[in-house]
Amino acid sequence: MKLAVINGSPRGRDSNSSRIAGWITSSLEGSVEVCHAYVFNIARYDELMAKIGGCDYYLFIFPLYTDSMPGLSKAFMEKMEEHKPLFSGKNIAFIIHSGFPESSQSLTVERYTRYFASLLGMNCTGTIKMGGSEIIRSAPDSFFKDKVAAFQKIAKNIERSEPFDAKALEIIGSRKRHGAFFNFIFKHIDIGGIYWNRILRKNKAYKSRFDRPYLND
Amino acid sequence: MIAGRKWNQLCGKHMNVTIINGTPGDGWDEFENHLDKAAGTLSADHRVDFFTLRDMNINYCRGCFSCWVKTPGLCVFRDDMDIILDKYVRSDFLIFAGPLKTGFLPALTKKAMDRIIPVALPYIRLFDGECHHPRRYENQPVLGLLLFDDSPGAEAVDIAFSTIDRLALNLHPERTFKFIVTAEKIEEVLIHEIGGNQRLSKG
Repeated sequence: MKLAVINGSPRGRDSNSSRIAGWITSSLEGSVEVCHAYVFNIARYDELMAKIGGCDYYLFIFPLYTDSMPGLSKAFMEKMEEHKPLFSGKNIAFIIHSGFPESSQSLTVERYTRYFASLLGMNCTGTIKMGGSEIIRSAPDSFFKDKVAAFQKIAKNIERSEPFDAKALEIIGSRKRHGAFFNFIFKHIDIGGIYWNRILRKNKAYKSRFDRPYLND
Repeated sequence: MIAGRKWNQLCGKHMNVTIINGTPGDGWDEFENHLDKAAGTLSADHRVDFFTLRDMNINYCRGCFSCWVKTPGLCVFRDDMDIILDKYVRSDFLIFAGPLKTGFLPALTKKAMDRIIPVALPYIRLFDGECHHPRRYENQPVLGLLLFDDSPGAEAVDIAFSTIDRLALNLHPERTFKFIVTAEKIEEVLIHEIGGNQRLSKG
């Protein structure tokens, strides 16, 4: 089987999408041939269509940008529609990951992934939603042990072109919405603030963190 | 401020309106002509800034977060998005207009939408059990979507509308409006939503 991994992140090879893709591709049997495509190089889209057009299965991974797919991922989808005969009748799966910790943020764009698959006459084998992805790049695999194991199960599902393991999906997208406990903790400890302020200080930009450059005030 | 804006709207007072036309290319002349005409009609009472994205030089967001952590509020790209954001922070209305493409907002529109994140702060606050970003600027325009009606199907329209509702959770406008419109209805819908003393143009 030939699997096309479409990396929908504008960050390209140095992205959280790349890291997630690696968790899957490193678990695939040798009989699966993997073909990588990156959406950031818009000038090469026609070339990329020719490159991935002969694949049997498509795995499209993208981060959530302003509540849906990044503009570049959408541009790639539009190009795929132009080349619809290359993709019709084939399998496609999606992984949507968000910096926000809860996977409920991706529900609307998840609906679109199914719509897109049907528009291209493709068989959508599943859409995986994962929250809290912004720290993936800066943390070791051991930090995400359960999720990595779940993605390894997903790799086996892809190999066999079967529906995704329900328990693996549950592990990956477990935090759908927050409960009372999280709300309590979050109210008293500004975890996001600690994270962003550390980076702002490192960049010597902490003092200007509330700047409003378009008003010049 | 909110009450003031509503009062002004009811009284037909001057508003700042930013219209972003994300029509990707040919085949939508009738809709674009009507949109242009509607902008002209609104200009009699309001300040209208009209942008056609396909004629502008705007880079895709590359996800570097410089606008949050290196040069707060400012993207690394100095391109035509500066002109739009300069209007955005003074607008009472921000309206995305155009057709769906591949069953969703066109990449052109999505590109501009992604580049709005400098107006948000990186910090996270809980809203109804979900994390969202607080606003950087006090002013946040009413967020509107006008979809050109080409019978795209109920599911695609509903997904686009829901996307605007989700975007509103991070941009915090006082309200949103979303319509799927025929070319002839564009002017009527905009005048109804924005208010003012304009009369529908003839022909």
